[in-house]
Amino acid sequence: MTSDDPGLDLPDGMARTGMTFEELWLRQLALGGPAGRLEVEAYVLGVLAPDAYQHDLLAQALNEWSLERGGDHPVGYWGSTPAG
Amino acid sequence: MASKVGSMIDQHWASVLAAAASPPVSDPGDLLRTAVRLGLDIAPGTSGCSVTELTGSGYRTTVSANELAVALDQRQYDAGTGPCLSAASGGAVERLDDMVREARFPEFRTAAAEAGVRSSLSVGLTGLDRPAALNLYAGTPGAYAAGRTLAVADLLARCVTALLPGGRPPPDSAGLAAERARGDRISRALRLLMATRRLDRAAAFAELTRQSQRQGRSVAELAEDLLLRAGRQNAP
Repeated sequence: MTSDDPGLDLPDGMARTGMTFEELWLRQLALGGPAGRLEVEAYVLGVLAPDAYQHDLLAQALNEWSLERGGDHPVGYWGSTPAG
Repeated sequence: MASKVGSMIDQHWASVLAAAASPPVSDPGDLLRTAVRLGLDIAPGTSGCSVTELTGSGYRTTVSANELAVALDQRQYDAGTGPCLSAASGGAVERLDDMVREARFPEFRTAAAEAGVRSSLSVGLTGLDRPAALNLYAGTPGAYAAGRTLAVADLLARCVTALLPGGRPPPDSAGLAAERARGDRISRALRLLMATRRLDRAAAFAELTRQSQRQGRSVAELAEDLLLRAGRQNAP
């Protein structure tokens, strides 16, 4: 993700990283996130609209997964993606 | 107007998800009716949504969004075969993308054609002490073929499972305590950042994500740095 590139949205970030919902939920918990497991799925699937903080928690969880595997920060943060 | 409708759907999903996360619900009737109405919005063309359960008197539709679903379910109970029975008894997913081309369940397909239904999806509800399924019916072919649609239907099915009598919440993961402990450290660092920089929680977390991007480090590492610096400053 660069200043010219808004980055991936959450569903595309999930597809890119190959993370499961379980893994994403645990990661957002480890980042201090409040969402339950079903709620995390609902945010990614678009049936619930996350606020800025919740969106960035999920984006960071996906980005750190990527970072640990030699990637960068492929998922956009709040305000940089069409959803945000 | 569209955003008001979207907001209402959001609220309904939020209430169903919150209740499903911590069953048992003392009086789940309203929430189950809300859940099957949400089913009508899962895919364009959806015209019926219901829950099939095996009861002491055989299979019954225990919750429904409308009469169309009740009637189509009943035709399957009468015939003793159909996708909702197959999904319920096998705990599986039964998807019929086009009633015209489909060869299975001829009695059901006849009833569906009479009702103007071209595709259906039944998701078996596992984790109950009895066979059950969430059923969706649509007037368009292939209504439930998309991956996202299937994922949302599966999410709704798990919510319904948790809300039904005897339903259980999703099992906790073994790593939960450790993850929460790590989250508490980050929350402490966030509160520090909020106080010292006069930021709200979203802005404080956004600041950490910007540092993460610049430095290629995790938020947990950055949070530990913040807590360490604060500890040094407060040391006598």
